[in-house]
Amino acid sequence: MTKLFIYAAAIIAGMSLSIEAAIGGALGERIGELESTYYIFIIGAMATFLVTLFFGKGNLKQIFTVPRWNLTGGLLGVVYLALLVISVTLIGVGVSVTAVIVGQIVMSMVIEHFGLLGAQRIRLNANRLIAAGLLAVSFILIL
Amino acid sequence: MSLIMMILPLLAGIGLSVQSAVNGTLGRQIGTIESAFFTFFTGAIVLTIVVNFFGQGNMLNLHEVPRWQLLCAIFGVIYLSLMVLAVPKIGVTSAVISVIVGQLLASMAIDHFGWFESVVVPFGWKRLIGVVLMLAALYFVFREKRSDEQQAASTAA
Repeated sequence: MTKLFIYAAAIIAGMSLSIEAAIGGALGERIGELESTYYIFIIGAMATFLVTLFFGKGNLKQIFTVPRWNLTGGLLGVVYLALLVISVTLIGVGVSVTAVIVGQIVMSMVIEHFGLLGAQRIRLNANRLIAAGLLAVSFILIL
Repeated sequence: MSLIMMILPLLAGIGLSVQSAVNGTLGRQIGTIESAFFTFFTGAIVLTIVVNFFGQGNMLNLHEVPRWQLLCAIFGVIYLSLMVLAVPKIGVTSAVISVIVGQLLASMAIDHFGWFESVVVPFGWKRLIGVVLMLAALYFVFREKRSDEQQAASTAA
């Protein structure tokens, strides 16, 4: 029963991503897409700063010792959100989010096929090729 | 709809996928909440530079937009907090699948009802079949992985 709540929480997390994109796009039309992304990152940084101060159990100082490529998440997050906000204003939320999901799944199959970025290596197999085909058809239908 | 417009969100998805891999690694070293903060913080620094050079809008209009539009920033934080809660309990794979289901549900509903000033795109047969095929694709991608994770979880417990 509690597990059901956790699944619901994860689904709400996904819904939040779509709502963020939709409202971010609407805001982008008024203040500019890059500005809208900037606003989201500033508020996000302030909110997570407070959460880290009070509830953080890790160790931020480790950022000076981890491999440098581990520190590129912020840049990648900007690429994700800025491109998404721009495309929401151009082609709408439904198509944009679908394309994001397709890009996401295909890229994670590539990452796992080559075992990049510390991921466990999972080679492309029949199942995954079927999935790629289904994704392509589904994408065309949703367009 | 030109091809270039489709490439933008595809690249966004690639960025998100690489980011989850990178942040997963960072999170194991410095903590999940800490890595979320670090991501927002460095992203804000990058955007400070980018907006100054390439921004064509006006940040000051923030004071004039309808208040509900300012809520977009909260949803990114809601997403992160819920993921921090869910991933240790149900595993990465189940969490990712649930997130994608949520993304699809909400974006189709927003399009259908035209919420948040979006253009109305009704949810018809084509989209329904598209969503079903997407879920089938998820099943094929994660089939083996999920049983692996569940086995690992049950041996751990």
